[in-house]
Amino acid sequence: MKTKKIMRGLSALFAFLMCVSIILGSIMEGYSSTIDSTLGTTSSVFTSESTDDDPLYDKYVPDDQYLNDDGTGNSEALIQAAIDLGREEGAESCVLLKNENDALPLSTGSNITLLGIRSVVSLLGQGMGSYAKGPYISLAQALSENQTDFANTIATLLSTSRVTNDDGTVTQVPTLSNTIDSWSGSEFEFDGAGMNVNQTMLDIYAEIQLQASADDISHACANNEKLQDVYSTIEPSADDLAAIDADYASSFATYGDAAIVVLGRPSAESADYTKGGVADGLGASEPLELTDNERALVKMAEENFDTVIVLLNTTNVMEVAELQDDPEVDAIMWIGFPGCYGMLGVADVLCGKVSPSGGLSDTYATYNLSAPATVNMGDYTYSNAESVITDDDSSNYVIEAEGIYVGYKYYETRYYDSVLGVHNADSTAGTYASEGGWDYEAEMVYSFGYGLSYTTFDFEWDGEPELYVSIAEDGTPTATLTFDVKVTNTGDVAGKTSVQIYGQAPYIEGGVEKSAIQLLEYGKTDTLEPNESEVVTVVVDLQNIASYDETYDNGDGTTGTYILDPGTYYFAVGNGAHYALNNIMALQGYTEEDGMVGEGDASMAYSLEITEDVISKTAFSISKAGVAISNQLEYADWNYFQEGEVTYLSRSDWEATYPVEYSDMTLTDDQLISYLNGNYYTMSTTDDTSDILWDQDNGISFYEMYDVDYDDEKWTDLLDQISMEEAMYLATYGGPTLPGMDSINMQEAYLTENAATGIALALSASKDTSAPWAISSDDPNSAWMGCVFAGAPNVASTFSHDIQYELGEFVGVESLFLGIPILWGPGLNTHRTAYNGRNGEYYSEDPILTGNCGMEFAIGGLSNGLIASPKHFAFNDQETNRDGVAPYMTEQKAREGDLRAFQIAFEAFKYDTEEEDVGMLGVMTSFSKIGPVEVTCSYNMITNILNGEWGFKGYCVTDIYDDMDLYTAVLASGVTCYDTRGMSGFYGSVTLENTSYFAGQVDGNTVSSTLIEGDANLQQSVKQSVHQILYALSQSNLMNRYNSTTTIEQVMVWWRVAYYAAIGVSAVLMVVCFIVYLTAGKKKEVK
Amino acid sequence: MTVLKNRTVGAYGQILAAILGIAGLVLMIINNNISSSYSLSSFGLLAAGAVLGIVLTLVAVVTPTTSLGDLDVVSTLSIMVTVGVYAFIIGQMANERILMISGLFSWNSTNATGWSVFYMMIASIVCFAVSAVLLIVTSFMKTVKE
Repeated sequence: MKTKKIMRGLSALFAFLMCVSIILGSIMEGYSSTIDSTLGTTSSVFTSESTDDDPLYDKYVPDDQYLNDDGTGNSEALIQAAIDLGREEGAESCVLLKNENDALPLSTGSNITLLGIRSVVSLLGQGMGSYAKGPYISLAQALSENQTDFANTIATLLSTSRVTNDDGTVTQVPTLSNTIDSWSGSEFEFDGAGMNVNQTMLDIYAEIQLQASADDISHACANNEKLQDVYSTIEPSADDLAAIDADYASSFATYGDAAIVVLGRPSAESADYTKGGVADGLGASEPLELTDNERALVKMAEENFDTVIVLLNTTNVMEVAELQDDPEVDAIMWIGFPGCYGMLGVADVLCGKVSPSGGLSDTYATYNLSAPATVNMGDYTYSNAESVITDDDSSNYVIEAEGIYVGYKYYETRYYDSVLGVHNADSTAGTYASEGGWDYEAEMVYSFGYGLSYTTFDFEWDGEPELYVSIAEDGTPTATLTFDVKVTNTGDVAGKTSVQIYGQAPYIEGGVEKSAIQLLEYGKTDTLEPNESEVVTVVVDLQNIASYDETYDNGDGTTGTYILDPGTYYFAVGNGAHYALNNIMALQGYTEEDGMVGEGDASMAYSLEITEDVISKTAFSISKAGVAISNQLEYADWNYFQEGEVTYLSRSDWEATYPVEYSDMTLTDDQLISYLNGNYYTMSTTDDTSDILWDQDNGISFYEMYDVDYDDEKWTDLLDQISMEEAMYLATYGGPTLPGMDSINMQEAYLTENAATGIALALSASKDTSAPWAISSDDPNSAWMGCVFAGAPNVASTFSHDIQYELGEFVGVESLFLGIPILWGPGLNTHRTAYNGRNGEYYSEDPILTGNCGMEFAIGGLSNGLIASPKHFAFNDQETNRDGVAPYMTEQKAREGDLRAFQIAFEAFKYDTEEEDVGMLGVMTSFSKIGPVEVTCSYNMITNILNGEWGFKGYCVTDIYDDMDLYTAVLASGVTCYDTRGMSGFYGSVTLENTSYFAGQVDGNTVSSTLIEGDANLQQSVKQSVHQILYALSQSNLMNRYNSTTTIEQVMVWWRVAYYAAIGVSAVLMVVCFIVYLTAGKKKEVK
Repeated sequence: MTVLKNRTVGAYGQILAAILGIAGLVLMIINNNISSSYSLSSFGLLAAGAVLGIVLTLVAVVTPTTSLGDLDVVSTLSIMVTVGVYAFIIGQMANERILMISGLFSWNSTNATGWSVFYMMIASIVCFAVSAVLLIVTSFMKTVKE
């Protein structure tokens, strides 16, 4: 009886263990790609045979500098190149804002003291999204050392976890960790700045970081740091410093040549700074304002050092007017988030090896809240949401009442109008720092594009700007204005400078809104020695000065298009937007006596009379892809549904139209409510689909499609060969792992990764281990991760097309080493406000600068077969309520703001030739809506604008698991697939039927491989999605590993062996125990 | 109530396991209905499995009181099938939520609905897991007093 009991119990136990092992194994197979990335294992490999007739790895090959003589990868050379590029980027992105008393550059051999926790725990990347990972070079090392200490200098990450308190409230608890476990690879030599740094202070700050209490976020800090809704300064007070070393101040005398004070604010995905969101007792009313501890730190520097330099380690605009006005602060320099190696460049600038040449990528106003966009930002819920909204993520909205006047376009336009004394520009509406009426000088600190140098430059037009206008037979316009700008270094030291070209379109009272100044294009000189000159050619695409007129009657039944109002157009070069505008105003005859702030130089401005016979008013009503442009986003405007409820800012009357806060909007329009509830598409079940071919036997393999034109008939044959089920899988699961398709010999593979600071994957986790240059896991540098470069605002602030391209090119090299042909990045949303938590991942407030950065990165990446997929298309204007927030705006704002940035990148006009229309091959859509319509479901956004007007042909993926409850509407919009992060093992572990995110469809459908059998439109949409995805991949470095022999094989990795063994052992033991149990009973009966 | 006469701690343990199975099922239903975005794609299968497990647990409670006697093969098989089914339910629920959970602990930590689903799922899983453990432990025990 005892044996029977034991055996019965063991039978149950092993039955349980067997089932657990089976289900665990199934789960592991479903997430094998993620497990591989995490554990560094390889559970499946491409196996192909390379022959002379059918070679592999010959389409995209890393440059020789990254390879050993035998063609294998040289990890050390790769990292050295990253360090060199990061250094160059770091130096050129520095923006010198103030330099009194020749404080900078510092002399080699100077004895300096670094002050501020950010001087030791510098912000290198974002706390989430756009990280800087792995070993890095600190500011102190860059200033004083000549060799890396990677083993002991690993970038940290501050993440947070939720803890529920006894009272039910939830607290975010910080967790500090290294971004990689350890570094035992190569160390690298560099020529540092040759200074002596006060070690006492470095030790104190390092100790403070170590002592930061694990449950007190106010003192926790890291190189990649998340921001909190309520900002709690981490800057230690003098008492905090003294608690570590009471005698710290005595070290100042020895290192007293200069104090470098580093101040910063973190940036991260998923959170925003909020109005008044700052902890009590910090001496600040806003999170981006200096706190008392920071002010005291600056004061301490002023009291103890003759030279005080402040570095701004932030990508969110900090309020630094008091530092600008402080005569004892000698220098201010913005360094952004410089990435893992950018501090070398910062040190180069500090010591004068490199003269600063960056320009601000955002406006530095006295108070950030003086920007009209900040009136409406954050958390707004419809007053009647509970009664009318049924969709989960549709209760929140934001009214973007500022119209086109974002960033400098507001400040400079209002400045212009105030000088002219028109449009109530000098009223008190929107004043913060002004005494009385609105005063530009009081409201502004440093304008967009501004930056100083150690030398001086003289600019002059080198000849008359050249206008080129051409209209193709299909009406496609090309209109450019080419400026040759002669730049002469008139100072004493070598240096570079950007050449920023701005423009002003004629504003007609009561007409279309127009900014008084807007960036149109930029160039940059090489390093010019004193007295050396260079002619920089800047080609301005006049499409960028066209305005979108929503009311224009196109005469064909449609309304709205781009217009160039006839009149006088002004152009100018200048050190930022303000000085360019001043130059234009000087040409227009205005002087400081008229109220201009600062001087203007008429010789640096140029006027051009544009009449209908020069360029038609509607020349840009046809896109570069030859498509007629008309209103597509009328539903973005709240007034489209509920007329007259929102007033958008207009320069026709600054006072009457200055935004009010729309905090309590009520939904009354049925169509508006219907959109918000996800009613976008009604699937048909009865269409005749016999013309749509699937499963044809055309004998084409995917590998044969390399470099085949999108419109080639061969694609039609290939697409007809695919089964509808295969097509649905590819049009659904968009990565990182994409499904295979047996019909065309395409294999399931992990193909995408995140971030534009480099690819967020370790060399040891390459997804293409068969590549000759793949770095094996036993390589000493295999722990190195690709995401090491500076944040996007740094890239923008270089104002250098070359660096922006080189970054993309290098990340393309990373993609070859890591086997990742698709990158989910860079971020191309514009900085609507300084409070957007994710500004560190987006380039700038300006769409032209943003678009150019994205274009250069993407085209650079494509040169190595990398598909850059910029995100988030579009209007991801805030992180608050990002899972579906509805931003309402005019179509003009939409098209001249975020969309213009994406348009420039996608059209890539600069790289088009007569033979080839170059364009980007990827994009990621936004979580947000446009008006009440999900971007992912907006046919007008995706099909009409992206695919139609801009001619996009490529991979268009949603953001992570976005709108999976709107399956048919997403398929119908033109989006090609979902970001289904984590999923793999398609047709087996993961199917359309068992993917839980598809379980609850808004339209009541059940997702399955046969769902669209009766809907011809959806079948065509799916076919087009597959076409676009495969076309993009066929242009990428994925094709390196494909030929006629390509198959994929499962590898017996340890975790697979482990669960197989667990199933086998527990099954055998269960059977044995059960038999013994049965036998024991019989023996007893016999006895 | 004759079923409860002359029963041991083992039988009461099995009854508790059945109650926990019912609780797990109820929590699973709530979990499935918190939001349409977080429905369980295999809810029908999981619910059927839970009902089967509860029924089999009750079978395991009852059969030892019949002519089959204690430690009978029917109750043994019932327990073996039930713990297997519960293992499947636990694994499948976790599998369906694993992506949501990874998001909650990273990029989507502000997803309040997701956290509700997560907590409800954990409660449901705990019920099924404890129920399975109870069934295994009680299967080492007599369920009828001699």
